[in-house]
Parts: sequence; C-alpha cells; structure tokens
Amino acid sequence: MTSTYRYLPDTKHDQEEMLAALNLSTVDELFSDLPSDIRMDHELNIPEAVPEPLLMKKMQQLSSINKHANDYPIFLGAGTYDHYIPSVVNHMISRSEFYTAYTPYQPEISQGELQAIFEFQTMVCELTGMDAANSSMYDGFTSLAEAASLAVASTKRPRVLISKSVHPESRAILNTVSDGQGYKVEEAELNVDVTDLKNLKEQIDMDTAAVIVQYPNFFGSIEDLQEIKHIAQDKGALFIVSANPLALALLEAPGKIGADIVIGDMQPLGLPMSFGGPHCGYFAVRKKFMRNLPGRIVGQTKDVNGKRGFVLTLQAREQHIRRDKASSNICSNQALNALASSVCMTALGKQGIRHMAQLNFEKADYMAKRLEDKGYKIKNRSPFFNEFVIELPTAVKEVNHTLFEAGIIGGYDLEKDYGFKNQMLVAVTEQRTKEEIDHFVETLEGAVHG
Amino acid sequence: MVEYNELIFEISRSGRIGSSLPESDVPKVNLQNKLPDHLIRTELAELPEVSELQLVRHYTALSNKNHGIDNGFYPLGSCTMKYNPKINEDVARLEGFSRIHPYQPVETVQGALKLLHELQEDLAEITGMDAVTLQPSAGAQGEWAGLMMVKAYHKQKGEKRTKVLVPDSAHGTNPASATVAGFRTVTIPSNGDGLVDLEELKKHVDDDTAALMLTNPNTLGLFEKEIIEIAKVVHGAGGLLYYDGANANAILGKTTPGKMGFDIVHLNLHKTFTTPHGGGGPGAGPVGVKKKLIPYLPVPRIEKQNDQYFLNDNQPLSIGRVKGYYGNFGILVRAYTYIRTMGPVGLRQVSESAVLHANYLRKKLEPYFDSPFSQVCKHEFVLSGSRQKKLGVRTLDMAKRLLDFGCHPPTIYFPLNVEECLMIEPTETESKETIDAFAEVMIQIAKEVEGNPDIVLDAPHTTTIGRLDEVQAARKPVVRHSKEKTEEGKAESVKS
Amino acid sequence: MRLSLTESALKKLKTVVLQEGQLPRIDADVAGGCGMTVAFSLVFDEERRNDFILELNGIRIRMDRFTQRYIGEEIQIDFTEEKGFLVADAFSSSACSIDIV
Repeated sequence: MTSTYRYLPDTKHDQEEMLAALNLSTVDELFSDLPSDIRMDHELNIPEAVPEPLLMKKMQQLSSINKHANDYPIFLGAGTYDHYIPSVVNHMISRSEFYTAYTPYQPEISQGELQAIFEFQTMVCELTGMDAANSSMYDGFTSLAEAASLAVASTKRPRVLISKSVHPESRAILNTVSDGQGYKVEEAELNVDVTDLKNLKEQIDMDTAAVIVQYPNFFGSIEDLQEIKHIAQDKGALFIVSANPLALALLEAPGKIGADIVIGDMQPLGLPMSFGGPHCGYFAVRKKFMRNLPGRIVGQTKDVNGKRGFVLTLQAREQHIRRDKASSNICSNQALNALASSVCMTALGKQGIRHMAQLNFEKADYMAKRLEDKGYKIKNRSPFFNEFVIELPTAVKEVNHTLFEAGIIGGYDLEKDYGFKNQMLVAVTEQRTKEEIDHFVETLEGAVHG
Repeated sequence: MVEYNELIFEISRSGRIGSSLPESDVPKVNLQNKLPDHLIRTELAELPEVSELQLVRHYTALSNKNHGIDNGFYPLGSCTMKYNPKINEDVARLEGFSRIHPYQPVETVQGALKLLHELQEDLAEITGMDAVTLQPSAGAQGEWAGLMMVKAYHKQKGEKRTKVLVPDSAHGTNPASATVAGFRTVTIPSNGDGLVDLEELKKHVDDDTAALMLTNPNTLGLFEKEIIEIAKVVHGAGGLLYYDGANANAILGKTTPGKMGFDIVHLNLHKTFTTPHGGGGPGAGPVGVKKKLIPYLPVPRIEKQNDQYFLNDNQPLSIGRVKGYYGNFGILVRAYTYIRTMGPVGLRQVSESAVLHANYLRKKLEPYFDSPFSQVCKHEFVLSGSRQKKLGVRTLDMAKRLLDFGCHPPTIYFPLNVEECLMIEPTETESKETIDAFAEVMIQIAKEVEGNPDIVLDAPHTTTIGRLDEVQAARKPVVRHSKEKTEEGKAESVKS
Repeated sequence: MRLSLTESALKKLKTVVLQEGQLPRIDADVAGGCGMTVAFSLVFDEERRNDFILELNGIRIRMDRFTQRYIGEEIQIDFTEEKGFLVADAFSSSACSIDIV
C-alpha cells in the first residue's frame, strides 16, 4: 500500500485502475525494459522511513549538537556574516506561491516572481552604481569567476590579474574555472593589508583582461578603487570589483568610480549564514556589457492590452540555443534568496541600510580601539569596514578555544591561507553589543596574560 | 479594491521605514575622519522607503500573481515539480542549522558534518557510486564539476582527450558545461525509437573521446535499454560515462547509474529529492563518482574518523574548489530530511508511482495528440502538437490555454528533436483525480483546436495579465526601474 | 508589418519549383528547454488554417497567426548559397543575441 507514505496519494484501488487502463497487472511490468542485469534485487541500503513526529525530534537533536550564533556571540566573518534579518523576510519567502514555483517560464502566471526579480535587479544597480544586474548567481565566489570569464571573452585577452586580498575561496574557484576555460590567473601581491599597487603596475600588461579586487577586501580594509581603476584603465583591462553590498551603503559605489563589473554576495542582506549556503551572488555591469550578462535577466514589457508586465529576457544567449558556444553554463539562479534580499533591503530602506552599515563601522572601530588600548597590534593600515586583523601573542586556535570556553565564537585564523601566524581576522557586525565586545576583549586578556 | 500593479519603488515615500535597528551603544565615528572623500558615499542608494505593513502587502500581492506547486498541477517535464514537504522547511530553519558559520571550528559543528556525511553515503547508495561531493549548487554546476574530473582523470593518465559525446535529446546544459570545462561536443543522433543510435555512437567513439553524457531515462522519458552495450563501447575506447541525474525520479530503488555502468553522476536535489525550486533556485547538484575518480573530487572532502567528522583539504589530485564552503547546506538539510522520511521502500515506491502516473496519463492523451514513441515510458513522456499545427494552432497556444484552467503547462519545445513538443511529467505526488482532471482539460483543448481555435489562439483569458510582448523585451531591454525616465546613457524605464 | 526581399532572395524565390498546394512560408520556430526562444525561417509547405498571405513582387508568402504575433515590424528575407534563406528579423539573431565572443 503506497498510501502509508504521506507524499504518495495512490490507493491500492487507484493503482489497480491505472494498471487496468494500461492492460497491465503489476507496476513492475512498466520496468520490463530495464535489462535484468542492472535491476536492483534488494531494497536500497539506507535507513528506514521515520514518521514525522520522531523525525522532527531526531532533526532537532542533530541540530542542537551544533553551537550556534543565538547562544554564542560570533566574531567570525570572512565572507559570511551574522547580521540581523527582519522577521518579515522569512514570512515573505515562506509564501509557497514563491518557493514552490520554478523559473518563471510562463510569465502570465509568474508576474510576482518576475516583478520581484526586476526590483532586485534595480536595488543591486542602486547599491553598486551600475546600469544593469542579473537575477542572481550561485554565490559571490562563483560570481567572481563568471566575471573573470566574461572579461576574458569580451577583451579576447588571455589573463586576469587578481589581488591576494581577495577572498581565498574566490581565488580557489577562479583557479578551477580558468582551468576549464583555458585562461591564466595571476595574483597581485599584498602591501600589508591592501593590494600592492606597485606590484599591480608591474604585473599588468596588454594581455591582462581584468584587474579584480575586493571592496572591502578579505582583511576588512578598504582598497583605493580610484587608484586601481587608473592602473587597469591604462592598459585597457576591465575593472572588476567584488563588493560587500552592506558596505556599499557607506562606501562610494564602485560604478561611480568606474568599475566595469561589480559582483558579490547578498548574504549580509537578509540571508542566514546556514553553514555557508545557500547564499546569493549578484552580478552587475555597465551598460556596455548588458548583453553579456550570464544567467537570467528580467525585463519590463507590455501585454497585448498595453499593461506593464515582466518577462525573462535576453535569453537567446542561453546555452540551449548556442548549445556549444557558451562561456557560461549557468542555467538557474538563486531566485528565492534574491527575493529574501529584496525584502530585507526594502525593510531596511534607504535610511536604514545606511544606519546598519554605520553601526558595523562604529562597532568594529570601537573594538579595534579597545584592543589597541590593551596593547594589541591591529594589522590594518588602511581604514576598515566591519573586519580587521589582530596580532596575537599565541596561536589563534588556542585563543579561539579560550574564547569558546567563555561562550564566544572567535575570529578567523589567517595562517592556513596566508601563512600569517597568530593573526586573527575579527568581524564585528551590528549584532554585537558593547557588552559582548568588552567580554571578548577581557577574555582575550585573560587568555594571553592569564 | 483596484488591482495592485505598483513597483515597490512607486509606493516609496521619503521618511518611511520598515525596520528598526538600535541606536549605537559605542562612540560615534565620523566617516570623514577615517576615509578619503572619494571613497565615501554621498548619494544614498535609492532603496524603497515603506512601512512594514506596506512591505507585507506588496510582497503578498506579488505572491498572489505567482503559480507554485502548492497552487496547482505543475507537470513541467524534466523539472520534477513534486510536492515540497513542509517539515523540510522547518528543519532547515532550526537555529542549529541556519545560525552556524561555515568557518566555525569543526568540533562545534559536528551535527552539521554528520548530516552531510550521512547524506553523502545515502546518495552514493542511491546512485551506486563510491563517493559523493555535495559542493555543486545546481545540476549545471554538477555537470561542469563532473567534467572537470573527467579532464583531470585523463590528464593523470597522460592523455588529453578533447571530445564529449552528447545525444541530440540531451539537456541543453550538457554541451554548455562541456564547453566551459574545455571540451568540444559531438552530437549523437537518436534512432527511430528515440534512443541513442548505437551504430552512430560507435562511429564517433575513439581515443579522443573523454566521455559520453547521458540521461537515462532520456529526455523523451524512454529508458536506454542498450545501456550496457553503450557503456562497453565508451569504456572500450577508454572514455568515461557521465550520468545526468535530471531524470533520477524514474529509477530510485529500481536500478542505479552505477549498475548501468556510469562512472560519474550528478543529482538535482531540487528535482528528485523535493527541495523547493524557489522560483529558479537555490538548488543543489551533488556529484557521485566511482572509485577511480575519488582522488579528483572537489575539496574539502567531508570525512569521518573515530566518530568525529572533519574537513579534508589534502587531496593533491583534486580539481580544487567548485563552490564556496560545503555547498548549499540549507538545501542539503531538506534533501536529507526527505530521504529519512521515505526510507528505502518509500523511495522505490516514488519511482514506481511516478512511472505509473506517466504511462497512465499518456494512455489517456494518445488518441488526441501525436505520440511519437510507442514503447513504455518512464516518469515522463513527450507528445507532439504537429496535428494541431496543421490546424493553425501551436503548442505554445495550447500551453497558454492551460493557464485558464489553473494548470501550469508542461515543458514545451524541448527536446528539440520532436516537433511542437510537449513534455509531460505528472510526478508521484499528484493524485489520480488530479491526473484525470488534467487529461480532461487537455482533451477539451484538443477539441477546441478543431472547433473553436480562437479561444486557444487568444489564450490566456483568466490570468492577471495577457500574453506579453517578449519581442519588445528582447529588443529594447528595460532591466531596471529608474527615477530619471530617459536620461541618456541609462537604461530607461517607461511607465505604461 | 513591412516585408522586403533582397535581390538574391527574390531571384531564388522565382526559381523555386513548388509542389501542388505549397507556398513559401515565414515560420516561427520555437526552441525551449531552459527558457524559450523564437527564431524565424522560410519554409515551403501546405496551407494551415488561419494562414495570412503576404504578397510582394509577385511572390505569395504564407504566415500563420502564431508567427505574426512574434515577428517584428520589419522583415527582410535574404538568400545566400551557404546559408539558404534567412529571415533577418529573427528574434534570436537580432539585438538580443549578440554573441558572447
């Protein structure tokens, strides 16, 4: 009896009726075209079905093994941040008309999704100062690799130059992607906490398709985009900026400084950390590159009666048409997360997002000052947004252990990616209270001197 | 009430806000003292300014203009639009899953790693593979990751193979993924039964063949019954077999890609394993491989030793990273919950029901539409609207007419090798009553095409908006709202 | 809607030998899958119900209602030996399809 499974509605009677219509007596006859050598002769070796009440309990138990940010104030950032998500966000994305729909191929019954994405594209353009944005990408890291591929394809140059101050995972994924597409990736050195402009100038040449930097960079420092733009422009390379969208509420929009492509991740605006995914990449370009945007784009149009409506547009470049001429194979997007981000940006609004960014900036500044007062060295020489690097007298791992004992999740150890010993990248979002920051600083004191 | 058609920007009024953040509890900092002027934003981003209720009404109004599985039947072939269980949503939102950071020390996230490790093992069993990576975030990314492993595998053997074979009925992403992985694709034609033409395949398989990408059942919903022979041909020439798992809903517990001879498999968790499509994403596209390909899997690998779970980066032959962190964790949690809900017998019954439903529905529709293939189908089937085309009505017109009945149309015009194609996948979660009702509607439309074609040609009649001018949208793209109406150099937004 | 024929197209159309009941037709081909694209081609086939006839330089060309809906205002038909007939205002070869090079 299949009806013992709540997702399977067929009764024995239904099954018999359907089989009778097909002149069959067993369901197995429908699988008679499977050669007998490849048929399963036993059930799958996976755990037995669990009824809902027991499963819920089991999943709660499994989740409670994890130490989470509701119980432990968290000072980890490095690309994923603990920001406040207004309650309305989860309520809106839980409307199942949104989350149980597929890509809006039938615009007449998908206007809600299409309009929401059109609004998302607009908000991304507003924050980045760019002319056009797509409906979203897998995440900020893969978005960066797509931007590099676009630059290589459109400039027909064989190399991209990326700063070492860009997130290590972005660089790792770029390496995998460039390996597939056959272009080269070079890295520009660091000058302490920012891109070494002298080294950048030495490495760039007429074969460089793009210069890629992060804003604020992996260490939280704010790169001088204007200087870097000039260096890229001089050699005719595209200027790609990976930007934290929340920081853009305070920082000059990369579009205003002359970026050609701005990419990043919307996670800080409305998306839970969720152990690293799903997040939501964004991808924005100057008008010149609008038709090269990867993925899906929603456009405004009219219906037969002249009424405003929205459709997926610029689809001719999609891979099913130019099946084997693609420079991108992205087919889906992160529509639901783009929606979450739109709802969050709407809730924060024009003033609220600035306020939130200001809180991040001030709290990080406060914490850095307190640490400096205690005699710790802050490595950042350039101004930083909501993250900075502290030098510790002992290994980060040990310090994090002590912090954890005191109920705090500490920062990111820079040794593995950069070989920087005893250096911790600390993030301070608006979620961290003065008490929590003070507690961190005092615990650290105890750990180091105690 | 009048119909609501505003953009969020159009209801915005300066001074309103939809959230409340605390005042700062630390000293104020003046930006000008910290940052050079040219890096300080002077013109605020024009985000909307609305109250919380206005926000809620706006997005609720939008949701009312959207059709999801919860609204009605959604037989979109190849997309497996089955029911998205609610417990999955609740579990993914548990704070121990949603409020953890990917860089927390592994000792503090053992629950999450245990879940991922168990999911890897379950998916390996379901696909008949030896190991699984959960990193890829969608089917297309899984394909690309799989092909990068194919490339690394041949490279390690000192070979540079450049060709990937793809049948003409393949998903469009297959050739695109092959291209971005640096291969060229060669299309293999189907035979009259809609299956891979074995003789044609033999002609193209050689020592330059890196892999054959295949969906089984294929996109016509037909089982490639010569799969063992196909595998022999490809393996015989040193090539690998890639399984596109888009159609895995037909085979759960009945057979596995591993048994069929495949070396690499991707699954679309948002199809077979009920994670919501979300209006286009996020999804997840885990990839399973046979033993010989394990060294090439993306890093980090999630492993277990003495009941402790950890991340292993030390894989010198790995293709590297394909996605940030460990994949779309929140989606993986949902799929895990589903697999635990169904168990082995339940999953087998999923495929049995899905296949029964498809064959039953096809039988009901066959008298009214051309049915290009007569053999038993699997979880989906294709019909052709060529009979209706001669009467001046196209498949797209019939699709639009279906909207009037509250039904999402099937996939249309795909695969490309069937004229005026309708690709129908009823899924196992629909009741017989729903399938019967859909069949009635399709039959009514077929009759309308004969007797009253205008009602089909002018459809839809009941949706909030009529057929849209997609030509204009493509030719004069307006992809953002803008306050300045037609300022030169900006994409304009014309209010209609 | 304005139809124009290039010289080479006109020349070729005049030489095509049509079978009983056949006429040239501008036809929309739809390609689906992950999305949908409409492209136009020139074919030679039988009448369909609701056909509409365009006449130009003595050449009669059919179009069905569906194709009319999707085709643009200006249509040009060209002919080259390599590619055969081309319907220039194809929605997938116009502005929206500038290749990623």
